[in-house]
Amino acid sequence: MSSRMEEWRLWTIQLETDEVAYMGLQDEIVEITLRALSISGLAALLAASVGLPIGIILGMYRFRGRDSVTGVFRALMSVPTVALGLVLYLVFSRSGPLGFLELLYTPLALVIGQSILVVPIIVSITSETISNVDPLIRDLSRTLGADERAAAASVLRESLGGIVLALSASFSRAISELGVALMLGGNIQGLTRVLTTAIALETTRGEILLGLGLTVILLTLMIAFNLLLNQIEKKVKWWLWE
Amino acid sequence: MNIRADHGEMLSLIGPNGAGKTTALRVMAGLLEPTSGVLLFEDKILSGNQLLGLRRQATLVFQKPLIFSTTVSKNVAYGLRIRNVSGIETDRRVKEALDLVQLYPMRDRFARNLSGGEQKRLNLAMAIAIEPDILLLDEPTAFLDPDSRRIVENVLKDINREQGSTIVISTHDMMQADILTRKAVMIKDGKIIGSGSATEMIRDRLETLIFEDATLNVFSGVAQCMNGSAHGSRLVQVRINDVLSIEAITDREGDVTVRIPPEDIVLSRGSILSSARNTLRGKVTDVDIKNATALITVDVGVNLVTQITRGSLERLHVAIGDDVDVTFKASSVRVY
Repeated sequence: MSSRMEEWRLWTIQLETDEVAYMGLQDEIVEITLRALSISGLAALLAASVGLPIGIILGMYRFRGRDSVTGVFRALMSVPTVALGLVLYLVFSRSGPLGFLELLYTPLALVIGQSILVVPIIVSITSETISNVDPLIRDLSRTLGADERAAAASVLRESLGGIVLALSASFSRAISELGVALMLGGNIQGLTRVLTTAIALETTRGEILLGLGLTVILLTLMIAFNLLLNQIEKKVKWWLWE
Repeated sequence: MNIRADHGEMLSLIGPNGAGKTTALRVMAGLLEPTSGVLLFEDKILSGNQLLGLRRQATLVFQKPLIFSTTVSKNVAYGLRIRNVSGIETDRRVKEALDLVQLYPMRDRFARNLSGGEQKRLNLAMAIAIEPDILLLDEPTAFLDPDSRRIVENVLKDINREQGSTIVISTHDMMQADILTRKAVMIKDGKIIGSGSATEMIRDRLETLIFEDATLNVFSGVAQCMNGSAHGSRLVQVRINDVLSIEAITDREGDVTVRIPPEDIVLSRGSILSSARNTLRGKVTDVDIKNATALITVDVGVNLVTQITRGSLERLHVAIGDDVDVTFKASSVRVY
């Protein structure tokens, strides 16, 4: 009888711990997802605030050395994430030039690293789109009565699609990269673990299913984000012409 | 080079490609500062920031269709928005301009989906909606289908008459300059090589124009006044090659050269009742289809070429050897 009781007791304990573990896992996945979203979102915003003005200047004005500058940004688009991660690791490490900021293994280091990674994408796509707008669009606005500023605004309005593409490409690259997140963040649970580092960890631990689940979350997020951005683009376009 | 356009005048700049017509128009539009010389507007020299003031009153319609990536009506509204015109007034002027160029039914379409000819008409609507004092047009009918061309030419005449706008067009086609404007300036390699009445200029250069096959339906004949000897333009009868007689409006008599623009000739099966003074019967000797238009040659004693749309050709079922009627107004006949 007592053995039956014992068995029953053990079984309920087992059930409870499973439930706790399950609840904990679910919470952690949500937390990791939210962290990935906010870190990469901030990185894309930071990159946009730097990259958009540079891209607009490169796209709108012709000056000496412009081709070299656009060439460099294009080349930087294909920098391997681990290479950038390594360089920034050396910069942020305790003995590095910015070691005193003690940023290594913090979420802020991830934000900075990912934004440096995607600035070239924003600059290149923005400048390319703007310089592809017919230069006569500017003259069209001017001859219809626009001053220089309103004429430049027309050119930007014509480039809206490319600018939105630049933003979506940079966010997508930031949230899906692994090298920078791993080397600057260190995949610390509850602090710098994001979707990609979690996927890498779970897969090496043999938790293939969990890794796959996280991958599905990552892909769903990216698709949803891009669909949303498409809708926003339409709304903005309508609003710009209202 | 000195070009002057008076208030309410229609002036054409004639010259071959690369003569400097576009540059002249861009300077007049305030888009470009002259590298040497000055731009005078209402007796004041304009430069730098003052050009914006000119651009608010003068607008240029470019040779190449140029539109913003939005709907047809929002394209037309652009110039009015820039000027902070009220919403109701904007709607009214947009409708009016689109009606004039016959694009109102397409107002909500995405402008980039319009055909080339429609886009060019849209550009014209964008310019006339702002009711500019000065309207400058760079080759307004180049590469246009006959229908769009006619619409554009009529709109230009209308707004010059009704709004009193000063209109300057550039063209490489002397005949068009003659149809649209009284005054013309001929430009070649950045220099003026002649100015005055367009008709006079054609008269002077008739030999070379015909030699270069610049135009169709040019015949020599003898003009005789039909009623009395009134001065100025009147109805005359022109005998061509002793085989045919047509009526025209001119101030000339004796040996003349006439041109009947192919696009002004109506082709029909059987005679039609109309106000046009000339109706001739003949046999079709040639049908030449070029894209959307067809050139039909009809032997009425002389070979007369008429231009019709491909749709009309299909509706009329015209073939070589058919008997057809050609009709045109006396005022369509150009006499040199």
